Amino acid sequence: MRGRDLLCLFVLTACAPERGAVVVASARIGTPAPPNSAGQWVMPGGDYANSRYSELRDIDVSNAPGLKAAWTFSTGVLRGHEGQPLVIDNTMYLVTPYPNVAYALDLTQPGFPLKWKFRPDNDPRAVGKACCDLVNRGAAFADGKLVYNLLDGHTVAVDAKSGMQLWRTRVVDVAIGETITMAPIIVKDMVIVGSSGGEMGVRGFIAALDLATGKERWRGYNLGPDADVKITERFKPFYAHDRGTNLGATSWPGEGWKIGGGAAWGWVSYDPALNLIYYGTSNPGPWNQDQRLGDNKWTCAILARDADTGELRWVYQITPHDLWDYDGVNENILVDLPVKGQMRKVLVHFDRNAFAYTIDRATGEVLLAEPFAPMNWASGIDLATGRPNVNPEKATKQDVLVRDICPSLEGGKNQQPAAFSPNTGLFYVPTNNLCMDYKGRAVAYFAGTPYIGADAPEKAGPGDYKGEFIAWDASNGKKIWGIKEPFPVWGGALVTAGNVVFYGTLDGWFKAADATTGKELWKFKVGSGVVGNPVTYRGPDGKQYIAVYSGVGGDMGALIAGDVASSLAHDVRERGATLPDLARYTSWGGMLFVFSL
Amino acid sequence: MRRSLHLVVAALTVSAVLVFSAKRPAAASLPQATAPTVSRDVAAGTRLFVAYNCGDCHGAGGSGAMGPSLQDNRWRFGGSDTEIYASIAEGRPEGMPAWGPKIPRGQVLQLVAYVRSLGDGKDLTTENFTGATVERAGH
Repeated sequence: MRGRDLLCLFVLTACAPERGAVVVASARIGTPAPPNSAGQWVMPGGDYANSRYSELRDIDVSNAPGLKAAWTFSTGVLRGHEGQPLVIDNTMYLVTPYPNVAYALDLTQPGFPLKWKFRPDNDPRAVGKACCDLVNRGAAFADGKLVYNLLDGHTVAVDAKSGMQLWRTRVVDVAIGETITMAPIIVKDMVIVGSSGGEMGVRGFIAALDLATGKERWRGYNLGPDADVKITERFKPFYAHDRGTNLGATSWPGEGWKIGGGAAWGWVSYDPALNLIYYGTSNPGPWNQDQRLGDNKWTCAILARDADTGELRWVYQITPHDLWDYDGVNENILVDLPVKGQMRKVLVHFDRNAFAYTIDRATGEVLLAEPFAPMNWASGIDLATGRPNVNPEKATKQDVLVRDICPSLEGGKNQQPAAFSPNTGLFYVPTNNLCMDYKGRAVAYFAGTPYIGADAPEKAGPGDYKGEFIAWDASNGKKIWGIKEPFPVWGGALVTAGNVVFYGTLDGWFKAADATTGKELWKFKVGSGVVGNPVTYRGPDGKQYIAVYSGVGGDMGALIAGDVASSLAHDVRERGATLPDLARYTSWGGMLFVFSL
Repeated sequence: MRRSLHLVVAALTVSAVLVFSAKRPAAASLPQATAPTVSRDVAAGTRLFVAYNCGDCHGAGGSGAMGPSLQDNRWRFGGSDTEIYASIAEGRPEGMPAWGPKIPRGQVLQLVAYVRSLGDGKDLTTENFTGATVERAGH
């Protein structure tokens, strides 16, 4: 009998079987969804906390094995379907990968016919500038507008009733390799958008657009002089080594910061009480570390900015002077947790570098940092300085082949977002188990082309699995359970008040598990692999539905897998050594699947 | 980083890369008289493929990455010397840059020779999943 089972014998109230045991008592979502959004899915992460938690509980642990496919919709586009639909006022909104078609489906009518379809002008040059497939991570919604980003660097607002374009703003320049793949969030009357292109020698930033007009309100660069980064006297980083003048420029050789990456292509969170937005920055460029000695601030970092002004309030550089392409863009989930005996307002971040960070979201102080996936690049995180203790044997260099670095550049976790349940107090995290060899090489910069400078073939990590879906206790930095998968888990998580957690796999399974125990409850083969994020909503008929995209792709499902694309007559590839079997189980697709009891 | 520094870096890799032609090469049409003799130029093209970051788009050895594979003997815009030369020099619609202004014509010809060699002996028509795993290097 395990320790927790013994505990349950004595503390029966903590182990109510139908709702699951409370593992982390008193944990709660820091910025929950507004009450009027109950039964809907109103923003990419479900709420400003990015919790991906729903109060719906009709589908629970006891009846989830009876889930069935209710209906489907073909998006008409292949490629990686990262992201998730929105459901607002009995309308479902979908955004496809490039060319970023938006659909509005009427959920009140039989067969769910379209209200409208929006096909934006989208520069085809973007196809060759996006590093890692042609993905889009979803739309935001407010004030009767659907707002989302185009791969070619525009943000568009569409009238939710008519499907007519209300405004269109060019945010980045696709000619120099900048694209946009992230899902915007809407804060007050502003749309928060960030750039992609960390492999293309871009200079990353985040910006706020006026929701009514699309005009840019503020832009904060992630690299460069203080004025550009929007560092003022209000900037109070927790750690001393992050204090100084123009560190975003002086921590680079010469003017390397001008092409140093640090893109903001991941998820954005918002705390209305602190009026702070949180997001992470990508790897520095180029990957070859010899060409960018220094800390390379503020790449591979978590940034907290004033939502109204864009001023940087604090920053925590997760992986200073990154040597492994460990972007820091993964989601920051805002929760209130007991940590070391005290309730703290924290953000929880599962980084590419395979450490899970529990960070005070008011100050940027790291409270806990423990590995959640196999890794050997560091012996730990020094909580006094916030810096990793790097294993010198795994430090990469130009012209030196370093073998067996874990995790691989895909990270212990990548963009696939985790979920948090206030019922269990646990985080549900899709993870990878891959390692790599890495050899840096000198590289020249040519605008609009990759600025990488390393070869880094990937391979399976230790053990007979390449991914694991885990439950994580961020109060104590411990894994509670895990479901091992044959492929990296590249789809996001959803957890509900029914104590059911949902996720999809690269080989095309969509699964439900008990959030307390990790026991698999149900699975369904959706065909093309899942790299998107499940959502749940209550339909006009009163029933609870679960929706998820099927459509393999993204960096792992398209580039690394090799040939899973059958639709490109002119591009036939050998299977990659990293995932040699994936193409046996899936191929490209583009479907929405909806399930119910 | 300043452009001049990049040129120095490039020099460490392939000295030939440093010779950025000041005059723009005639892009699209390849005079028959200067068509490459393949074997002589493949080795030079191999180095240039790395030095001009071709491999970071098209994969190590042209195995395919964010750009299409060059090993499959399938050509969206034609596989003749003239057509490949035009693809490199003038660019193509979905993100292939126009390298004509940056790469001297002689080097483009060496790249053409290398690219044409990549599919030699390869037939990717059938993928038999009961067979051995094909090894592929690079990102």
